[in-house]
Amino acid sequence: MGKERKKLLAIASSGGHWVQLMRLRPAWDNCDVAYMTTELAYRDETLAYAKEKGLSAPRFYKTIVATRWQKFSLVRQLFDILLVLIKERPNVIISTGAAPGFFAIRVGKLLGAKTLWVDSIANAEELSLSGQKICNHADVCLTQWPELAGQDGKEKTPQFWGAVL
Amino acid sequence: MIFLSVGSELPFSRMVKAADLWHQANSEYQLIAQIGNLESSDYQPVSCEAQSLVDPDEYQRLSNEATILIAHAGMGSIINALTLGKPIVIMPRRGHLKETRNDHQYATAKKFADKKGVFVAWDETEFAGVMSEALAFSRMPDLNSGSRFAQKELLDNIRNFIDY
Repeated sequence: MGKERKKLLAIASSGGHWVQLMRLRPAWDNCDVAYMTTELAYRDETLAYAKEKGLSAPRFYKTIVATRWQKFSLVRQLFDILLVLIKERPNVIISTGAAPGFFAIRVGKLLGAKTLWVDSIANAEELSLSGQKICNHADVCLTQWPELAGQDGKEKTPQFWGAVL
Repeated sequence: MIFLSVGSELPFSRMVKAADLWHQANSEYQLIAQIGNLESSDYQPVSCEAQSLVDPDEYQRLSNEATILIAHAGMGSIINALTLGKPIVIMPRRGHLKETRNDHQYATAKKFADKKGVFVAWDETEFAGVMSEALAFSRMPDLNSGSRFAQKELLDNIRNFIDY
């Protein structure tokens, strides 16, 4: 098609959020990819995957861990993400949560990126707290449980497109 | 070897104690436990091989070598087990016991309770019985090993979203 490769930022905190993000990665094999997470050791598996698939090595950024009770850490994390967004200027931002993805989508949206929130499969009975807050801001907000789709009652309801498992 | 993990955030004394007591009665098994950074009020294991945190490589290595995994009902742990095709015993952290901020792990455990290879101990009293079931299951051949990536439908939908 001769199209320019899209720049994509895939962002998630560590643990289950990251595991779920990794299960989605074949979806952006055609993109120019940057990853951001809270655990530097995850870099190796992103490089190994690119090598295995013959893709160019993705860029990798680390930020600090922050929960919603740690105000100072959250500010620091927001600042890290802002710098990465200014540097990368991604066309598309995809996150499986939690706080880093929330920030990246809020700020990225203002900078003109197309944004996708994939709520964790762990949230089987209601959307996560960050998911509920981000649903009105992300272009598309997904739940991984069909029975939660369209139940939000707000402007943009979560959709169901399938699950990571 | 059996590998227990409480996840990367908070200790989970109720489960660690149940597993440690089980191990005292079943010491022919090797039990390695990642139990988080304990506070003085947390249960201190006496029987299993406990460490506070393991790095992701070590976590993966222990998961790969284990015949059974034991974990809190966190998605990372469950997905890890399903991906590796290992049986997993899970016990949900409970909101009312302040083990997590809400009861999402209880909901997760309910959703996965019927999945092959997932064994739920709803509380510490059920732990030893559920371990026996999981051990029996682990001796059966023909465990499904899971796939590395998400459902094709979801990947296709996300590709369309990116390209549109």
